[in-house]
Amino acid sequence: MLNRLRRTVPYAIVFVATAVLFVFANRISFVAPGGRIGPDVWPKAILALSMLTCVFQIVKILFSGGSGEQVPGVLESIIEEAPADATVAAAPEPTYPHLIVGGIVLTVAYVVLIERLGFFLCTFAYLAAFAWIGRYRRPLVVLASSLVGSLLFMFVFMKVVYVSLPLGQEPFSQVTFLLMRLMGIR
Amino acid sequence: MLDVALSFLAAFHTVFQPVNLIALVVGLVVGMIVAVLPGLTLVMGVVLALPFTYGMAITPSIILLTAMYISGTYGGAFTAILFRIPGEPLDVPLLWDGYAMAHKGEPAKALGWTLFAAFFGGILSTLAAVAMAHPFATFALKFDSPEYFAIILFGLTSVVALSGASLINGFISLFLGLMIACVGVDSIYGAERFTFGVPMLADGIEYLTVMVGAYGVGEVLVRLEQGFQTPPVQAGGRVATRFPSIREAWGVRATLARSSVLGIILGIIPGAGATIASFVSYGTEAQYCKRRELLGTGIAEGIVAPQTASTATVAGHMVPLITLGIPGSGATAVILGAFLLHGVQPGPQVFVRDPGLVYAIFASLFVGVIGMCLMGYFAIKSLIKVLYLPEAVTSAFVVMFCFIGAFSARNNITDLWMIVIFGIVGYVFERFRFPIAPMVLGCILGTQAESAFMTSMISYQNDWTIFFTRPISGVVMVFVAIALGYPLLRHLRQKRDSRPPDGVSGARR
Repeated sequence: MLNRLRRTVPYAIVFVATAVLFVFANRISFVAPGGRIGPDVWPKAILALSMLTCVFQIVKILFSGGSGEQVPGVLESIIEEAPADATVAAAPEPTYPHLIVGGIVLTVAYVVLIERLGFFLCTFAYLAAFAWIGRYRRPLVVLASSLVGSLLFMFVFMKVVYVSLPLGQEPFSQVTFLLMRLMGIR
Repeated sequence: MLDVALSFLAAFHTVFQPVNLIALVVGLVVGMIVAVLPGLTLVMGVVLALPFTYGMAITPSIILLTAMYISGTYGGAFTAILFRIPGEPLDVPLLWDGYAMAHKGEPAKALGWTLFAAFFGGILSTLAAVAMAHPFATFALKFDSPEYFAIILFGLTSVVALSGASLINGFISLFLGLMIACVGVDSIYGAERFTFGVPMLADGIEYLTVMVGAYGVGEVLVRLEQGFQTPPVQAGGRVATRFPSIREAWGVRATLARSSVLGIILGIIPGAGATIASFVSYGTEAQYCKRRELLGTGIAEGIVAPQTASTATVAGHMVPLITLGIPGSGATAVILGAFLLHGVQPGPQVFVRDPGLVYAIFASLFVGVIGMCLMGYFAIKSLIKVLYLPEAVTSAFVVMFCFIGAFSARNNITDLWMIVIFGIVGYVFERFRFPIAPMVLGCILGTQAESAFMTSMISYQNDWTIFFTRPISGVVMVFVAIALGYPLLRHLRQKRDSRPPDGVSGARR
């Protein structure tokens, strides 16, 4: 039973989230001419269908006799019928949960810091750190590819495609300005 | 028909303009590289190329993206056949016969069959798309909002029905996408919905950020969790391509015809894509091919069918995109984005306003297929060298492309946050086996679906039966019912077939 309850968790979370959104949908303010349906009908219909789907799945998991079997899409059925030796990932692949935490933290840090450090410094640090987190352990290759990559990104997007990438704040912006001068970016 | 043929021929002049030709060649090369690299999907590749089109004219922009798209359906075949590494999910069926043929000592022949299939699939489907597009657009001029709503609904339900490990998870993913499309100011009443007082949300959530986040960053995070474990590439011997003889090619004519037709049809259906076509055509050969008992042992039919069908979907996808403005796949959604960024709304009217552009796109597909095959023949050795690039480094660059692509659209850091959020959503979806495609397609088509629904309700006094009583929309709604019912029936049939018949166990005993 505990296993079944655990399997209902994702659907319960979606149900609660949609229920909360349904409450917000009730608060949409608008003036509709007589008889016309308002802008709340469409989102409410979607939310109601979403809640119904979740309830159906929760009930099915809890009371279907334990199999909790899902109806797969057509592609999944075809793959199941495929030749036995065809499965690409037959052996369970090892996973590295700590890497995913590191990757997400690093990516969030990039967005937080880009306006302060500027595009070049932030990108250089990100490229190097990401490759390192991704278990690539050749420091010279990591540093060289990060440096060349950041410079190339800066040149292509600022000089060729005219994207206004973040310059950074003092004193980091000085690095950006120096590089811009060297690349002839105005 | 003659004027269509003349317009198509005249469009080759546009394609051979230096700027357009450069865009075509660059698109083909980048598309192949993206397809060869296991961590990058062709949708991701097209998404990442989008920011480069901001400063370009519309014709080279669309040519660049479509060239990437078509060569993306071919490039992954090399690694699937030679190293048993499918560059794209659509290349998985090539492992069964393509790799088996290579394993039997005939890799050059397996590559030759792939090239042959991609060439004929691409050329036949492009010609079919050219022939179909104008009549399709003329027919689409008769459509009113109920027909548009029915067609969009068909696209949304078919993407749920075709993909994913669970229909229920597919529906939840679709509803999330439709809700994302609801965020912002509603187009009919100007009412704010789900903005929670955040000014940025009043403009809505850009579907490109959802796509880039879920497909780009999400996929990188999934592979990061697996520790970027692409199998090491064995230093192989001589890599060459050997064409099949005319006699051998004639022997697979039925497979070629079946797979081309399937590819075009599945391309036209919104929601189905190259991967679906590749698997379905292989499945069809398993039922109808003369040598079906040999499938999986390395026969030509098992290579020709998936490759022909997957390449044929590209031209098929362009038909609803150009004639109705409805993208049927992630890649065509990006191409639609490129159209809109350049101020062109695809649809039946585009044939009246800018027929030159339409036929230039089809002509570029035609030239692109030839170019892609030439590249596959002559540059295969250089192309597969990208497999030696460390995946951790290329993945970091992919994330960076995602960020710059999102940032350059509006120069707003909030879009970077959106990328991160939808990247995490994409990762969670992959982790818990929720398909991403319905969410993305729901997000893209949600606004159009709501608009068609609301307009129908307003025009027909809230009579919801209008979707069933008008002839065209009624027929499409029947297809919607079939799309929803078919996986269920198929599942029940499989369950029935897998159950031992009564008395069998007793008899054995």
